[in-house]
Amino acid sequence: MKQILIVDDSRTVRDSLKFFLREGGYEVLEGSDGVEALDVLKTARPNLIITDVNMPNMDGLTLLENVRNSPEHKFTPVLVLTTESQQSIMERGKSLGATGWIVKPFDSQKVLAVIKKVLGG
Amino acid sequence: MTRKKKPIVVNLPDEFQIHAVNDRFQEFLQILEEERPVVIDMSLVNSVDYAGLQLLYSLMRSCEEKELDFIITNVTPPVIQKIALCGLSGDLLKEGINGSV
Amino acid sequence: MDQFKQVFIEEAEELLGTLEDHLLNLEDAPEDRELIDAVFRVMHTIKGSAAMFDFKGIVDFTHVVESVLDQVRGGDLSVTRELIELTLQSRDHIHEMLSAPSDITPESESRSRELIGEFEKLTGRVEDKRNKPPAAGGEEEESFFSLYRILFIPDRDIFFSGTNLIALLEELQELGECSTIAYTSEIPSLSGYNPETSYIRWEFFLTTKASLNEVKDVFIFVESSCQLEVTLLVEGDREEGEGEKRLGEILISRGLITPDDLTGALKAQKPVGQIMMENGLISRSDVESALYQQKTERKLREKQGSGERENTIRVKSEKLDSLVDSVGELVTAQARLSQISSQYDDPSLNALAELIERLSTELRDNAMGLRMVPIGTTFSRFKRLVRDLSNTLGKEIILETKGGETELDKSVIDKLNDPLVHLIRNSIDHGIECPQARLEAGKRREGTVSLIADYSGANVVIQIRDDGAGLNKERILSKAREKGLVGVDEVLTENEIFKLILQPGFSTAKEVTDVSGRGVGMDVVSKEIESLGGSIFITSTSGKGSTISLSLPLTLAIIEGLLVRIGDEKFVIPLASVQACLELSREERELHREKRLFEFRGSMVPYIRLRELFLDRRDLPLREHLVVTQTENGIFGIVVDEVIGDYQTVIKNLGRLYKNLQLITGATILGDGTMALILDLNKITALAKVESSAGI
Repeated sequence: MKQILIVDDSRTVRDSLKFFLREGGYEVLEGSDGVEALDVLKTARPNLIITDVNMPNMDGLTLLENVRNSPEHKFTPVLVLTTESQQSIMERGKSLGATGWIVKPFDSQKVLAVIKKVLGG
Repeated sequence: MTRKKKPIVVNLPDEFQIHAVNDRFQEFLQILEEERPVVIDMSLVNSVDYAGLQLLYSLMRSCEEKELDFIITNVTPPVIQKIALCGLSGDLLKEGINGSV
Repeated sequence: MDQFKQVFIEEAEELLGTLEDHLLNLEDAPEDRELIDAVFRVMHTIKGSAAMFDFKGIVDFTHVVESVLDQVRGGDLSVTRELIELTLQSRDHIHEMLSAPSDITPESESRSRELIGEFEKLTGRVEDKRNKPPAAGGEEEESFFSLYRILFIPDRDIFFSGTNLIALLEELQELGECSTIAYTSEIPSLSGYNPETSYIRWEFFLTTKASLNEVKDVFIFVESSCQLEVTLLVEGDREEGEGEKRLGEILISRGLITPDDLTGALKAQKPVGQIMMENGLISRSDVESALYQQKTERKLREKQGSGERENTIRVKSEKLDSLVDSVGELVTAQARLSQISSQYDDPSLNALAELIERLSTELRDNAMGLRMVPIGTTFSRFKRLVRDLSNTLGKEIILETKGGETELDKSVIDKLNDPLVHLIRNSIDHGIECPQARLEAGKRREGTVSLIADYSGANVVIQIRDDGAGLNKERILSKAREKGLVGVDEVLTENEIFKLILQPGFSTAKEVTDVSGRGVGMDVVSKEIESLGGSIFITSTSGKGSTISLSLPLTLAIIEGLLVRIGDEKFVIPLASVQACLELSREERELHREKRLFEFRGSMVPYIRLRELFLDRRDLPLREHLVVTQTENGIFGIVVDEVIGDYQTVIKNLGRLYKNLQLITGATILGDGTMALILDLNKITALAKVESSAGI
């Protein structure tokens, strides 16, 4: 079963994502900010990381940089959660090595479609 | 001359993907130094990605340059499908190649 | 993708050139159906290929022009001066949009609107595509299969974005029936391989109901880390009325597929065909890929049907260059073989050597011939220049061309354009008088500028002749003296005086008119011609006109030379400048020891002893030979130890080490493997001239 790490400081977002992902047949790991996520990544090797941008302690883009600089995870796909108005974040994310983005608000269908796009069938 | 030599058979593991591609690369380099025909046995491989296939291609090219036989054998259906997706069937899955082993 | 775009731009520029010719010819023959069709076709082709590369501004604009031309073709509109003028302006506008980094700028948009407005005045009403939604037909009703061609080149470091390309390829396949061609030539063998680098480029032919945007969406995450070009090749076909058609059916129902077509198409269409050739990669997807070329192929056949085009294949000129290089080396090797075989009395070896000599000569001629192109195309380009200049200057000028079939090496022709433009501008601006002045001088109203090309030995001579006022010797001379280009007491020949106009700094900014003063000065002309190994002669008769003659070598790569020896060294003197070979008698040597002159055809001619220039030895051999040469600096004798004979050779550029060798233009490898230097007679004789005048 494919493993996905979701990183968001909002519990609502985490829970809804978790629900959608489990429904889609994925195993879910969680972190509430970049620091926690890095902690999880010390032992786990998820197939995908989905991260919010604005978070306490360590924001999503810094997390992304850390992921790309780690030998174990440098090739792991990372999706950035953004809103429609955050065009510049998507661009910065891309330049830091983000694989893609999920635009908030999202529904189950949308999330699973994006994940399939990144992970394949 | 080289044809008389016994081939090296390489058994690739279950996953042959970007994460492992550096290790495989080092391994392939060593194999190549032996100047023997190369057989890649893919019977165990279930997941392969573009990075893995591209590395196989490069190994094939190296063997061609050194005029060493290069054979990919026992390819599983999911791998065949990935090779076809990448448009590499013509090169990596040559017909009759299994027969020549 | 950029290289394809570049190919498109190059092709479009060529088409625009053709368009211009057609339009100018149409002006003289407004009823010519074939020309009207040709003009329409060109515009249509430009529009079609612009669409493939997303030049939306060009597509929209050419669409309007095309529809006007279609009315002309249908006989609803007649060819008038205004129409031609407007179409010419449109051609210029397209050209400008092509050369700009983007074809959609506020300026270009407003120019497009302006021109469309003008067309509307002519036709009453023109269909303006831009009022319609883009992607004709709209996405909703697109429930039929369309064919897309997708070029996808991932950036080398795409792995570092976590992108799973296989997932992307899967997504693409899910859209419909997809044929994949992988271009793998860039994948190195392991010794040069980086496992974390992407080397493959892909081309897909996708038959799908999806819209262009839906297809592009597949790539949405990788847009910034790849080059991507998605082109709609065949739009969903509604005419057939049948719901779902498979790709193969589309092809066959259109009568597109035959095996011959396929090979022909692969040859004719540049981008894909070329890539395949380059990669030696013809894969199972050929049929689908040929589909795309089919369209081009059909257009091509239409053109061939109208007898306009020869069956041609486009080849990169670098490829020809490297062919010529190899042939040059072959000829050298062959010469060595002949030399060796002559030392053995072996009939079969000799026969073989002769056969190879014959074959390599033939091959050399063929290879050189490939690069030869007629100058006519270059000439006809100037029609427009002359027309526009005459209008601007209020002069009436007829351009005559002669000898357009004369062939020159492509590399020479390419470099000839700018000098010719400048010389023609100069003739029109300074040479040809205004109609009034001409009438007063008892000449025809219209001035004539003639471009004449002809062979002259190993050279081609191109003349730019005008029947204008001619050059004023005295004025040129006094101006040159004023500017210090000529000493007060210096006596110059007529040619030398006229050539002063080619000197840097001769014409000043103040006098440069709008027409002649576009950046380059006349000195650039002489530099360019010199760099081609050519020379310039100017003749002029006051009141009658001037003729500027450019003498150019047929080719840059091959030289016909006279092989000579000095001591142990061998040199090549370009045969084109050799007038005669004489023996330098002891008497003559004694007679003019100081002045170094000899008698040639009744006049005294100076000579230069190569031995002194290159060997720095004063001990003279018993016998010496004189090669009489015609140079820019007049007739000179070149004294050598021995004249070995005619020699045809391929020039090799000298390495950087030899860059400072002023008196040498190149080197060649002789049959015995030794090197001979090719003499630059103009430089050598110029040096001698300076020395002798300093000595006096």
